[in-house]
Amino acid sequence: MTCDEARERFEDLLHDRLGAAESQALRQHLSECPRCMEELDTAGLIATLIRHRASYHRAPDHLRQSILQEVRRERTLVHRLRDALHTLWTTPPVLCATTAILVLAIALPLYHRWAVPAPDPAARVVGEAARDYHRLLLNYPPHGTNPAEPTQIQQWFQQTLNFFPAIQFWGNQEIRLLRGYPTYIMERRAACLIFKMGDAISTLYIFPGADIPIPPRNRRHINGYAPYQATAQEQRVLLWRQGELAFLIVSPLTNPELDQLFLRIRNP
Amino acid sequence: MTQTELTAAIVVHLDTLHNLAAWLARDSADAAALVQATCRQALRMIPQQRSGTNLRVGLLTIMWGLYRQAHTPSAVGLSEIAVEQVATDKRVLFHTLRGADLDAGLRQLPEVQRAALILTDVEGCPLEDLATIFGWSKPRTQVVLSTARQLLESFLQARLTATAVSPAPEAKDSP
Repeated sequence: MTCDEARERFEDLLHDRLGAAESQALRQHLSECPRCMEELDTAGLIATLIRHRASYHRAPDHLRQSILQEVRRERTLVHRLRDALHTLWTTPPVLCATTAILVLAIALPLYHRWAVPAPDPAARVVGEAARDYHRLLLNYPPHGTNPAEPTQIQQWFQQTLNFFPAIQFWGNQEIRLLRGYPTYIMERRAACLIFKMGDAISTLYIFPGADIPIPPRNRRHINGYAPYQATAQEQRVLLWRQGELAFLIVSPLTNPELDQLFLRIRNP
Repeated sequence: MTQTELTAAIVVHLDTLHNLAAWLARDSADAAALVQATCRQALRMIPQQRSGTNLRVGLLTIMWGLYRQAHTPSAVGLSEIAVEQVATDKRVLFHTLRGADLDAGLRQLPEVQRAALILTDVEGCPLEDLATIFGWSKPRTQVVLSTARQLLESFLQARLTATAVSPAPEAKDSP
C-alpha cells in the first residue's frame, strides 16, 4: 500500500468503517511509515477532540414546535388537495358530473363551430329591417325635419350615403311617400323610404348588397319577378337584388297589395 | 416518498440540521432561519423523489445549498493560510484544551472545512455522504478533511502556546 492509498483510507479507519483485510493492510503500512502514522495520529486526535468537546447545538424546543406546526400545516393542505382529487375521481356521481362538465366544455364549442349552421345573411337582413320598421312605428309619426319632398330626400341621401340609391318610385295618389331618411342595415348605410297605403305603413330599404345571397327557396312569383319572401315580427318582407344594390320591403299589407307595391318599386 | 416519511426524517434529523446551521450561521436566529428554510424547501422538493432516498443527506444538501445562496463561503484553503507549526506534544491538546478554545479554533476555519469536520466527526457522516452534500469527489473530500484537521491543529497549538506563555492575571494579584 502506498502513502496516498493509505491516506484515502484514514477517514474510514478513524470511523471504524474499514473491512478487516483493508484495516490489516493499512496498519501494516502505518507500522512501516512514520509519516503516515504521524498524520493519522493527528487526524485521530483532532477527530476525537471534535467528537467529544466541540459544542453541540441541539434544536431549541420552540424551533422544533414551529417546524412541526409548519409540516402539519403543509401536510393538511396536501392531504386536503389529495382527498379532493381522490373524491373527484373515485366517487361515481362526482366523477360522472365532472366528466359530463368536461365533455360539455369540449363539445359545445365544437358543436357550435361545426354543427350549428351559420346564420343566413338574408335572414339577418330581414330581421334587422323588421326591427328598424318596428322602431319607426313606435315613433310614428316621425318628428323632426325629415324631408317629405323627393328632391329634399335625394339631396339628403347624396350628403349622407356613400352610394347612389336608384330610386324610381317616389309615391303616387294611392301609395303616398311620407318620409325618407338614411339608416343602417347590417352595419352598412341604407336609404329608407316610408310609404303609406290606406292605413298601412310600409318601408323600403335600399343598401349595397352584392355580397348578400338571396336564398333560392321561398320565392314569390310576381309578374316574372321572384323576390325572396319572409315573415318577420308579423310583417311581410320581400327582398331582392338589382345590380349591386339590395332592396327590401317591410309591410303589413296583404299579398296582392304588397305585390302592387313591389311592382311599383321594381318596375315603375 | 410520502409526507409521513419526510416528517419523520425532519424530526429525527432536526438536531443534526440545527447543529450544522449553528456552526455555519452568525447567531441563533440565523441558524433557526436556515433550519426553517431547509425544512420548507425539503417539503417542496423531497416528496418528489423516490422512496429510499437518504433523507439526512438530502436535508443537509439542501441546507448547504441554501447557505451558499445566502452567503459566499470562504474559498480560502490551507495553502493560502499561514500555518504556524508549533512543536508541542499533541497529547497535551487532548488533556488541556477547553471546549471554548476548540470552538474558537473551529470558528477560525473556512465554513466549508468547519462544516465538513462537524458532519464527519460529530455526526458521523461517511465520506460518500459528505461528497454528495458538498458536491465533491471522494478524493477531494478526503483532501478537504485532511487539510481542515491540519489547519485546526495548528490553530489549537498556537492558541495553547499563547495561553501557556502569557501569565495568568490571577498570578499577579495573588500573594
